[in-house]
Amino acid sequence: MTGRLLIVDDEPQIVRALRPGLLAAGYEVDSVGDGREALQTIAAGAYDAIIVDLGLPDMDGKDVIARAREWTDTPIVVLSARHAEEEKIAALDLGANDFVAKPFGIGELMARLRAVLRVRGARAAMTDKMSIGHLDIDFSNRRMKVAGKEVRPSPRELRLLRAFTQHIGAVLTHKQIVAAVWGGDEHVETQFVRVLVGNLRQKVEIDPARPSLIITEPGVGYRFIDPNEESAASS
Amino acid sequence: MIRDALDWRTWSPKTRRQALGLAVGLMLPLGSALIANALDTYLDVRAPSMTFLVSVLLAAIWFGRRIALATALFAFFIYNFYLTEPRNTFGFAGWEDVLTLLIFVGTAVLIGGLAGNLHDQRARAQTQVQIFSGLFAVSRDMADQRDEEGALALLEAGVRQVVAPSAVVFAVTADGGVRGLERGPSDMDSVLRVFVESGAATVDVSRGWRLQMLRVSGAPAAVLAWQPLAGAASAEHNIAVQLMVELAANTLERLRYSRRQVELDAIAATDTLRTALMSSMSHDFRTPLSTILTSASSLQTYGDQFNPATRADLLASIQEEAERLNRFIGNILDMTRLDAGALKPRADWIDLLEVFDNVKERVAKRSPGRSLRIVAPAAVPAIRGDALLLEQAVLNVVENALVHAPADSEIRLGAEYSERAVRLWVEDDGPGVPASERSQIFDKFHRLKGTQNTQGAGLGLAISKGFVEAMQGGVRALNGSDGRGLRVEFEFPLHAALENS
Repeated sequence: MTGRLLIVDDEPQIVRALRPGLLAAGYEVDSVGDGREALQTIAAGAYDAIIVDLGLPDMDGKDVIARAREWTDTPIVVLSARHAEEEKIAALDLGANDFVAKPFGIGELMARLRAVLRVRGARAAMTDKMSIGHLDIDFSNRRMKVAGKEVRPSPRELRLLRAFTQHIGAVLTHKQIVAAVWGGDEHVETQFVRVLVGNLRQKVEIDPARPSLIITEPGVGYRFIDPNEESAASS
Repeated sequence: MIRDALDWRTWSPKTRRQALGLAVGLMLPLGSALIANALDTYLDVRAPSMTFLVSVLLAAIWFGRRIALATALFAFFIYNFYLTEPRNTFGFAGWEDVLTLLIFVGTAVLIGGLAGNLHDQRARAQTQVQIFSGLFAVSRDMADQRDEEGALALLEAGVRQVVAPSAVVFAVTADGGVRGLERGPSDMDSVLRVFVESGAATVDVSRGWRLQMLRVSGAPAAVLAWQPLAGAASAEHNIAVQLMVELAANTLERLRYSRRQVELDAIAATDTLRTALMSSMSHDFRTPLSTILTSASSLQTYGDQFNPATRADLLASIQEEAERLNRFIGNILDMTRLDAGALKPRADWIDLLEVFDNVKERVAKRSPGRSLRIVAPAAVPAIRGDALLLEQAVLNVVENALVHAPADSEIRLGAEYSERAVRLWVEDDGPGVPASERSQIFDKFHRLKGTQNTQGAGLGLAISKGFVEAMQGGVRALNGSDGRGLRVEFEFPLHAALENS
């Protein structure tokens, strides 16, 4: 998969380190060093994905995301510090599609990029039946098979599964899950999300104690991954 | 003995006053006689009894009832002797004389009594004024007290001056014991301990001593022991002592509160510093680490697709960032050493030109293409200190200049000297620093407001300052010589260098 990327980062050495790998993977790469230039460049050029460092000299990276989201739904991947959960959640809730925690290897970033680009394609071509790893789902008939065995999901679990499979590989925050399952207006405790995810794991995971499909992003949310895809990326 | 008794200097004030009253009481009727005589002779006014009554009145007002009575009797005799017929003889002229005598005596008794009351009231008012001015002085001084010992000493002095000469303050120690402000343990120790433990506010003990508790936030803080004077104005004295104890208690409370505030401020400052350190670590360590990790993993995954130039560039960036990390760690270690006071600079003679050459060499290696010009007289005197620390201090300032000044601008490194001091300076053509922020650029983790540059942990200049100060030098930041850019100066006094040698 290829496309045009914009890197928004004020650290020239990071851009310098990222560029060769991204080019080798077939992406076109532009870069800008501050938020104002980033917004102008995003408005002017047609990018397939944007990589934003949250620490920018002139403005908060989160503001760049919020402003960009006013007119574009181009996927955004955030580069942030590993322990800044609040910041990650804020960026995701403002419309970023995923994040990579610093320091990161090129493989991690590639996997996130592939995920956000695929989500875009998946939304365009939403399918009724899908097969991910050991999981076969038939959404219109509300049926699913785990390793060939029939399992009955509840309506809520099915809605959650639908949200997950529309964002394979990408993180979903608690807030996004609540919006997808319960509807955005309702006030739902994080605990309910945990219980629902736990129930779904009981049904779809081969070993619910060691999930291979629904991965927890501590403090942020959950990520539904395609085991085949992920093992290819981490190699 | 008799001579002693006659010497007025040995008399008590009261006796002196009585003697004075007696003398005046004798003089007054004589004066009255002269005046009455004069009135009679020159103005043909005959009102002798009135003039004599005035003398009795005055004696009563000035000296009270007893002197007034004596004056009245004396006045009667003189009146009788000089002014009533037959003149210049004592003679009983009948009921008129009896009446005169009665009027004189009655006036003396009546006015003397009134004057006595007035006298007492005036004395009392004077005591009150004395107490209040004393209280005022104590409360004013309390406001200036900076430590608890001082406040308690002031309480002791205040009670002694205003109320009673016998007053001692004991501080209650943390373990519930008591100690005098100047003396060690006192003979009252056990009594005081019992009093502190009893929780009572005040108690009278032996030999007329009264103990009064001073509490701060409910806990015993000190004990005032004093001997109330018998008699006069004891109610006022009690109130005054109460007020002074309250004042001292409030002062102690204020002092304890402000000390706590200072402690809290220190904790808050430590917290700010820790937060700054954390965010600096997170930025300054993760960025190079990210670069290294990304470059290495890119080489691993796509290495065979890269051309040699790209591979070399990624390898170079790995090396540079690893060196950058190493410098950050070095900086943090330096800062820690400075903070812990573990820095022991050597005291050798330093050749400044050599230091400058080393700095230039290191800059050339690290930032090839940047120009650093050295402007120093060949005869610049050697200073006493640690060459390695000075080199690091200068290098940090130069690196700060390299980061902030345009890449094609020149950085100047120089030295000048007088008989008293040697001054080193680094000057750049960068954006400079607003005067309001100049003193803060040496603070740990300080970054200019709204700066475009986020490189560096904000430790370099703080370390420079720490090293220079460890060598008895001083640092300051100024405008560049032509009004733009930044000039950082280190100054080392030469006399200090000579004394050190």
